[in-house]
Amino acid sequence: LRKALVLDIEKCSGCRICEGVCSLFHEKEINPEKSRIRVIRSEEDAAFMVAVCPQCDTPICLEVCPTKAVSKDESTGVVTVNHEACVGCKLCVYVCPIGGMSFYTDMRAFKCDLCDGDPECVKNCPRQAIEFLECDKIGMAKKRAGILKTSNMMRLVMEETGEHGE
Amino acid sequence: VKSEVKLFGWTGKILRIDLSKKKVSTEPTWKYAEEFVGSRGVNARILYDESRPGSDPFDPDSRLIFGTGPLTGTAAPMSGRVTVTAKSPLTSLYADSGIGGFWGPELKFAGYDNLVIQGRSDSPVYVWINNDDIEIRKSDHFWGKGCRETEKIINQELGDPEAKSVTIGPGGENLVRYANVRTMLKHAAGRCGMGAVMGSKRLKAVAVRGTKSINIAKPEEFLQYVEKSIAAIKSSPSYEYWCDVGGGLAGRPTDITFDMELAGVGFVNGPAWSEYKRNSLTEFNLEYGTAMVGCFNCPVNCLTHIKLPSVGSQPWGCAPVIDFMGRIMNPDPKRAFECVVLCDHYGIDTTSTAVNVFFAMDCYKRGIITKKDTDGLELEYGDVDATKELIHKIVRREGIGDILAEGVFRASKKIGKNSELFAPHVKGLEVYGGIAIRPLKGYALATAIGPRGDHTRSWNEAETLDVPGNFLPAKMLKEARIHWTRVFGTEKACCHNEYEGKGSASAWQEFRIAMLDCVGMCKFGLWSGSFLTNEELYTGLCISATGVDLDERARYEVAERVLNLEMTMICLTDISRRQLRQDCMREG
Repeated sequence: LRKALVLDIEKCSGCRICEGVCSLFHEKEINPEKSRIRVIRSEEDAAFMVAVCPQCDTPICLEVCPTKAVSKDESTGVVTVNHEACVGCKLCVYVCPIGGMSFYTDMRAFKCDLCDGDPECVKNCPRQAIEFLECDKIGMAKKRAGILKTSNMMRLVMEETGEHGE
Repeated sequence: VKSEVKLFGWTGKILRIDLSKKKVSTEPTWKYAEEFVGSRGVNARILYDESRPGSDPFDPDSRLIFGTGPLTGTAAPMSGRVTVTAKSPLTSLYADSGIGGFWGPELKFAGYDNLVIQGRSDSPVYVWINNDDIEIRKSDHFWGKGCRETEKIINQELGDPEAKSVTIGPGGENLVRYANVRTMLKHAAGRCGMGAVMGSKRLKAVAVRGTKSINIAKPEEFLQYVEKSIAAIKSSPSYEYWCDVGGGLAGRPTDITFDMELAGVGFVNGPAWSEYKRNSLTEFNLEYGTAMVGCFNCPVNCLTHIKLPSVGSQPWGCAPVIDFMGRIMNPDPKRAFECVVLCDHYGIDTTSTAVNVFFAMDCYKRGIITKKDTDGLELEYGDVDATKELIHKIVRREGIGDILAEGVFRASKKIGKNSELFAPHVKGLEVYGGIAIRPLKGYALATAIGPRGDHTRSWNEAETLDVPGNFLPAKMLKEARIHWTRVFGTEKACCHNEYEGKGSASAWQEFRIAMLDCVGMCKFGLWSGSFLTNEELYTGLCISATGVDLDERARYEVAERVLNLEMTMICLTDISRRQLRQDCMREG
């Protein structure tokens, strides 16, 4: 069963709890640089975005790895780095267009492994800005959320202009 | 020696920078942390050890200390706190001021628990802490810039957009006695003039970037406590209320304090204010608020980010709102926001600024000062244009601004003519207008006994339970009343105009707040009554993170030690008990 992290940047408040719990779970210490998930804050816009590996179906990191250290589990869809095989060339870090691959000197390349199916970031996000959904159901979930939002907005507009009720 | 032992929670090092000698050194945290834990406690001890009673806050040898706690920067919720400690230029006493945001965690990731600044640079500088590399760099080329601007310039100059800075603005540079130290858009060590101390050292900013780890004693256990704490905070009935746009600190709760006739209006705290339009703040926030924002690891997010075209895009909270609405008697939130943006740009404390502005208006109204003294400015109550002009003057120290930049305590002495009667201050610190002093007896007590002249050290909000308009749901109100009655031994502790039980309530709160300040967590969680009052969770977080037996009893002892040390420092200066009491009684 393939599941993926689904981000809602409108809900994210940029608090960075996800970074702390991620590094705590994986590395047993607190260090955002060792977190698989990172928050990018834009202060003036109050916009907060989350950068994390989306577990691509055709991972570029896998294609460029000279030592075949990157592999993809076909059943779970998780892309992993074999740390024994990684030589620290950072090619995967350079080619990933969304920064899904991270690098830290004593860890070499590392990335999100979905915490063996129970992601800490999802469990601890106070705003439910990260959800963990089955890949094939993401599209419909987003459509429903989007439509609900617009229909709510339409209802509010109608109430305001008095088209309903009275 | 324990300092050689691997520490958990703490990074283990205190960084000391001497700006006169351009010398950088480190020392072990543990020699202070064992007794004083961190942040406010360790800062107080360092200041006590290294300053003479009665010394001038602007003396080159004075200390400016930034301190994080063992939980700062960890995954514990609300753990973005730093305490800034120095002799206050306003009160001339020991003072500390807390700051949130993301700078404190970054300092820990760079490998330091505390940062001690001493000496004075010959020319403007800023400090760049990049893990183990410390640089004292020139800041002549952006001396005079606003706070946020400075931060951006530094990020660009260093080529590191992730570097976090604490900065001062022109207010701190020109030694406005209530200048603050700021980071990002709306986080400030606002009170007691820490920015002026920084300015006196000609230190424009401290930029930090850290990529190191904080060790955790029992990671699995700690992670469980983090999960439980976040769940506890989120399950609070008032959680949604605080987090939603229109709520936060600047919205509904502030509206309610006006409704309850508790907010400061003009000189007097707490009268009805006919010009105030009901719910105007909530409506303003709903119209112009774009998001709720907060500090590092905070699930609550108490600030509302406002985007007001052609004025500014930044968050605001409760104090600035009340300062530039009630205090100066301006009923329009839009215009209040203009003043807040201006103060934040200049890096001066909104509360003190508003009090000084209103003091000038009051003196003008009463004929103590005239147009001749104000350089032609007509200072009518609630006049925002005059307020803004006055803010410019204060920061540039022009004309009457030069007097007001000294704070109401000194300004009223200079102006004379009985103007002291209209200068609301406690121990020299301008009175905060968010909640009234007169009707709330416990609040008045807290304001009187705190090491600095405000309520933030020992006010227990239980006494607002019987105030009409309290926003807690009925069931919670009842539960809270039973809980506090049991803790304080009398139901009168929950009545705003009773005297009984207020002593024990203040003492209880004083210890809890000191404990939180020392470990590096935000006391707001305690204040709102229901966020996180669970001692078991606090204890769990502290022990599993540090591996040190910081249970409730131990934390209580630390708090007692810190509070006694702070009071010792205050008693060593020449301020008398009687004076402390008089200050508070004169207000209002």
